[in-house]
Amino acid sequence: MSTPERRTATRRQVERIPPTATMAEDERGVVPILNDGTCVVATLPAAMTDTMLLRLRDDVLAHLGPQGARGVVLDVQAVDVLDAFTVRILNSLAQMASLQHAGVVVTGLRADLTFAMGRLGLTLQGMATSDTLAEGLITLTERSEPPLRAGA
Amino acid sequence: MPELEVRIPIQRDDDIVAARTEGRRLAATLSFSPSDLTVVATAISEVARNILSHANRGEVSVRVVERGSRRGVVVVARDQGPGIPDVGLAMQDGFSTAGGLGLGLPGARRLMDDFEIASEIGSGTVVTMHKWAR
Repeated sequence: MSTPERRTATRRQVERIPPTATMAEDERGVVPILNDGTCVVATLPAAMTDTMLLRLRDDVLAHLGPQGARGVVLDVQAVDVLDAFTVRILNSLAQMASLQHAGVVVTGLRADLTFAMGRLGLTLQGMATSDTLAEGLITLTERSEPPLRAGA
Repeated sequence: MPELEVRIPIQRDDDIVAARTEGRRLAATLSFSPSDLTVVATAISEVARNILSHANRGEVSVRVVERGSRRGVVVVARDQGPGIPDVGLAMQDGFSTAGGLGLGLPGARRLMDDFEIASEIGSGTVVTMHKWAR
């Protein structure tokens, strides 16, 4: 492997590390997605722009499908705000995922976020919620029993 | 002397994030609960997005205010956009000309303690809203 290729490989691995509130400047704009073949996990960053959110929706959906992952965990523990636009896009992501027989679980929904959502009259539609990432993965596993493969 | 005002020009979608982040930071210098800080940040997000969706550019300012013994923040979202033809209609839940849920402005009103909107066709829109610390 030539050096530039090795650099690219390392770079890809770096991008798979979940983001923190202080993402490196060059990683801004893309939310990393973990995919273990069964589930995809995305940790939404503290300050997420509309563009990043739309990109995240596309990227998550690209992991689903007949040969793809069967579930999605969206961890919102770090996000600053779930406003009407964000909730609308998350709801549409869940609806699109359900067409691919993939369940969506939102984890880490803090009390202040649910309070503001309640005041706004916003609801998460077509997805479950769990307190932690670990519980979210369990929820997804329980949901996909028996396996949902077409023709199975 | 503590910082008493932040002003954020709104031109791109990351300015929405900047406005609510800076606004929350300023509000956090007062005695708001964590839920109320998120409420203020969410309301700022809604009015900033409203500027971007309908006027392309404008400005959000957040200022510390006092009324008697109470302290709070006033958020002013100002644009020189096309203006809103029917403010009453725009403040109804579910009314949207931008393809959203139509929850932006009425949502911001529900989140804050008071909410005023002034709009003139051809000159722009000013939203002024307060949240008082407990």
